[in-house]
Amino acid sequence: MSSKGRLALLLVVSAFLCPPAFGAATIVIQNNDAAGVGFNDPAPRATVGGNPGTTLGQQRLNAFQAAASKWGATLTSGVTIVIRAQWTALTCTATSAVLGSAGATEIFRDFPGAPVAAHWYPKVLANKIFDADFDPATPDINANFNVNLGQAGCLTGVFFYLGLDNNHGADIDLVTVLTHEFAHGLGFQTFTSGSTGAQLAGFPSIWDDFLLDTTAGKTWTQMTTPAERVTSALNSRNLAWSGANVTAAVPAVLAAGTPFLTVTAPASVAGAYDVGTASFGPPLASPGVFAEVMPVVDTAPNTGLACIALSALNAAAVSGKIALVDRGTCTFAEKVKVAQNAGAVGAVVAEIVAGSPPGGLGGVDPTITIPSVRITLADGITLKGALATRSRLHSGMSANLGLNLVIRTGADAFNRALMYAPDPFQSGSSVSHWDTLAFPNQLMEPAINGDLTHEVSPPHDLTFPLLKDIGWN
Amino acid sequence: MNAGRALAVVTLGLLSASFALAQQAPPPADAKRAPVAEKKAAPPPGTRDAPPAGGLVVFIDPVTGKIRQPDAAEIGSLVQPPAAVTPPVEEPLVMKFGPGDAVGVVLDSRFESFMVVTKTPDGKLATDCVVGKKKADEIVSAGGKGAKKPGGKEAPHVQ
Repeated sequence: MSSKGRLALLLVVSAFLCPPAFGAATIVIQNNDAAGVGFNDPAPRATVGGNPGTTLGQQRLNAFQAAASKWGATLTSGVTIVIRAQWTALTCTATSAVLGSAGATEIFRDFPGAPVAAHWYPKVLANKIFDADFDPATPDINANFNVNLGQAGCLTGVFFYLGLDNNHGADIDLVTVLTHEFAHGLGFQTFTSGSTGAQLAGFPSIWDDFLLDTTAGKTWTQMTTPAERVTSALNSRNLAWSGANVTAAVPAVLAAGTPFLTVTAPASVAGAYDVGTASFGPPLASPGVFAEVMPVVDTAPNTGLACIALSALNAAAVSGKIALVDRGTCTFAEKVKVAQNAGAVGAVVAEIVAGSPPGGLGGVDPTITIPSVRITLADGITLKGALATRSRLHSGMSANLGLNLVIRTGADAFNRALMYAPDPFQSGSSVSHWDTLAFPNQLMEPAINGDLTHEVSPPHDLTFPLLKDIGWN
Repeated sequence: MNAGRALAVVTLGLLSASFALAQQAPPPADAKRAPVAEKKAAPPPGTRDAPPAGGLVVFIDPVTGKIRQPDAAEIGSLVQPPAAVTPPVEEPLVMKFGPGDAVGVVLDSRFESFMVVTKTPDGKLATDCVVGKKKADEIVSAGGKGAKKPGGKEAPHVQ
């Protein structure tokens, strides 16, 4: 036997040595690393955060097993789920890195017992429904993680936290990242392109049956042209998940209260406007701040920017009002502080770059006591158009800056969870994640937030209800 | 699991078979024991973005080995006319056929989800989950500038 052949045999044997995660489904981590590398790295390590491994490789494997065990205990399948995993050098710089990747290795349609014909299902779900492995020679999910993370030149000094207790501190919680990426492999994604609208090989994904554009009143499957889906992928805060399991779980998972700027007069611009919230000042509340809206006027050339103290006359115009300012030149916190010093009771920053949804207002200033938000460029133009005709001290525009407690944070008025659909399109992130508005933070938002738990089910998380909608139980 | 229903894999390796052709020749629809057959099909148009054309040209002096500004003649020898640029070629999709009317597609790294992390100027970590190795590598190479704009609660812009 050649040395290459012996190595291959060793790897196969090592795969069977990995303890499977037993639950309602059995998930096996297939160790695809060579001797001395990745899962087999013999470097000694002190046990950490409930991870009993005493080598770097053991601890990595235990973290994989923990994420697999979570899914194994949650899902039901009579077919063993195999995750082929390895640690390799992935792209990185000193300040940025690919942490890892995972995904389904194959998808199938029109298999015996398929709940919906002519729709793509990830292999692992097709296997479960078919009650046999379509392709036993091929693992169900492939996972590849960065073996160099934290080393010099590869997000230097930031490592994977290998503990199992989520006490990751400033490091990156590997179990959370794995749980997220495994979910994609289990079916938390569409295989239809959001950038072109093209279905994979001409067929929709089962995902697309639940991806509802509430403006068009159609799911992505019901849309007849790729152009419709391209438009829908940018329809921020109007692309929702229509599955019954998620909708039923939303009240238990997402907090009540969606932030809005609600204009009540004049009628021509009345309505609820999406906002991004501020990281400084008081959080938005209900019933919120009711006041007249007035644009900030200050000295040219900084008109409307509120980067310098307002004159007494201009301050009088915004005193007691919600001040509307443009983004630019100085920080958000500085603008809001200028408005506050002028007597404003709230502040709205209008974006100067096209896109949606509106981003938040970052920054820190503990002296700010008024609420503030950001609105989109388009909404800012709309409001400023209505404000163009006004008196020196009054605009006639009334608004509420606060929370709508009827609407869950990250859902629409019908408790349908919102999907991530920013404009411009974010390749790979759009339409296959929850909207970042969701609160409490959800596992399957496009970003891993530091306050995530390892839970995947209600009352903490909506991931499992979504998987149930597409065919898991 | 019913081990008796496990399926064999047959690799046909037809490099240029079209998806339409593949669909015209489905396997027998009689049993779960039918083998999964595999063949390659041309990628459907528009399934993934084409890589951008162009790039940065660097001239290395053949004598000194150092980078220097090339003269006009050297530039002419370096830069290909647009018509000569070979368009990027997408890997074809590999199709598989299983029991009944089952049809499968083999997915590669173009379809995997990648988690990318970037350290922001204030020292915080911003993560972003994207599909496809190409997109993930682009974000890292751009120092995170290609990453999504946080939607309002995680490390938003300060100005």
